[in-house]
Amino acid sequence: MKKNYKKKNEEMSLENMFLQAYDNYSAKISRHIFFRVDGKETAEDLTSETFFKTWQYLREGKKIKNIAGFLYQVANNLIIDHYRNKSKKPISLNEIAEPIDNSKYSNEDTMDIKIDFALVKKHLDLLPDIYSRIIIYRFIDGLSIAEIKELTGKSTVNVYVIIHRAIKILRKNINK
Amino acid sequence: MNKKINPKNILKKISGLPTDEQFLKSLREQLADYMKNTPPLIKIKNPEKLFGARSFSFKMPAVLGLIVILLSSGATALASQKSLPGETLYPVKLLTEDIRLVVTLNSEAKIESRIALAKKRIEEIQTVISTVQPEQTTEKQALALESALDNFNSQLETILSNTQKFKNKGDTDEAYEVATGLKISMDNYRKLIKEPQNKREIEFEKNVISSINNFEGRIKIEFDDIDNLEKENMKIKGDKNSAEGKINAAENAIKAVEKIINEREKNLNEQTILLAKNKLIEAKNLLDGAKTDYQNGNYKKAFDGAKKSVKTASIANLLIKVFPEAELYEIEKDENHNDDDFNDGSDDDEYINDKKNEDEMDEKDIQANILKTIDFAKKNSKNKNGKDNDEND
Repeated sequence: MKKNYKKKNEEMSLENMFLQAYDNYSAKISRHIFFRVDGKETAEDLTSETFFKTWQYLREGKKIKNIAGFLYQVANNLIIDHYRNKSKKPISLNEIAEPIDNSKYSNEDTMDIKIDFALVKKHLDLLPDIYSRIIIYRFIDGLSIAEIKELTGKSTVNVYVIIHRAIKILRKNINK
Repeated sequence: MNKKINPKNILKKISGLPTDEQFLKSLREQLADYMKNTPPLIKIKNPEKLFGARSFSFKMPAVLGLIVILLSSGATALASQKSLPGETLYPVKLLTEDIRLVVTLNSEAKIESRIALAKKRIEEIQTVISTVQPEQTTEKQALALESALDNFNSQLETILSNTQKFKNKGDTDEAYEVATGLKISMDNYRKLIKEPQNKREIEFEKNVISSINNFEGRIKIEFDDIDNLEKENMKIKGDKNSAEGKINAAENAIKAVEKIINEREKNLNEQTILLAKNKLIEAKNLLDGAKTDYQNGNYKKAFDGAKKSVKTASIANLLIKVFPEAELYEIEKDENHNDDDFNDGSDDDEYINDKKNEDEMDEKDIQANILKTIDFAKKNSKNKNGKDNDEND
């Protein structure tokens, strides 16, 4: 009886730990995905899939060295698959700004943010994937250089250089 | 309406956006249900081992280091101070430095230490790559060189983040001093880099130089940001108040420099003191000019003059505190900087249009450099010995 309880407790622990990871990273992951795909629905689907897939992996007893990094990696693979299956198409202003919680902003603020968002997103999409990915990791997700290095496999110097170049290009293109 | 848009500001604004909490809440419930229906397939004894307890957290090494240092003898830490990348005690050296930084409470002293540590890293890298034969380089050594460069970058990254902190507080003078300190450091670091002698040196020095270039570019952006912030502040406060504030700041900066010169005069060489004193006189003259302009009602001119006075006093301060060996630095060169001045070794537009891969690009650069150096080495050796002793690493 005691043994059974212990077993259940261990399994629940893994579930609880995963839920804790969800609490820690779901907002970041969903924002990250949202910034890289077109539309709220797609972003929500891919966010859900990221967590369900990660759980599938964990329940098979496979080891995850770094949960945050793993979640970003799964999300990234799903985003790539998404674009493979679907040709890119332009997005409308309303569509891209949907997940913003409007209640916290005045109408004017919301419109400002929608325009800014559309502007940056449009120009980010024109950058090579690794550039936009690193820019999103750094400025939207707030990851450190060391974290980005771990996620992308690039050297620290490379990450710095890419950030610098990408910002320079964005600055130039946005202000054209 | 010609105001330039800074993408970083927009990105920061967007990063603070709240996500759809209702969606996240409902997904959490779905996930909990899903986990109930799909429990782990095998018996898991220690879920914490399976599930990476380690998330993105890089504070641990410092704490671990503290324990290591506390447990190990002080002699080990002391002995490690002369170690080089790749040597057994080198990690202890880095940990000791981290701990020293943790226990240094004064933020100015921290910045001074970080500038010195970054310099140390460049010197170590230079020593290792110029004394160890390429064919004798171990993997451990190569990795250690990488980590020395990482450490160099991380010291500078932290210093650069200080300018942001000062800007957030609205303290543009402090932000400017930190950025100036970094700019002078870059010049000094660059001087330490020797001419590469073989493929490995080219590759590694290329990384170091690219890192310095990158920081230089970012420092220029910082100077721009500080200037913009000052302009915005001026709009808010009005010309008269801004000029008054800047004149006060210049007076304080000059007093602080006078104090530091008196305190450290005996311990520094004559040339450094002379340079600092000259800068101080320059700062005082600028301040006098600013005061006259203020009295005559030329507030904008007064502001600019006082701003220059603060900057000149900052340089005197930096000469005394951080760069006693530095040559006189002409900050005026940076006053009219723009993005196009910064050459990071590639034409970005072409690069993007062609959608070339970053690594391919680097590889090309490296190959071109290697060919150049091999050519150079061949010519050199032919001239000297009539023999071809081309590097084969």
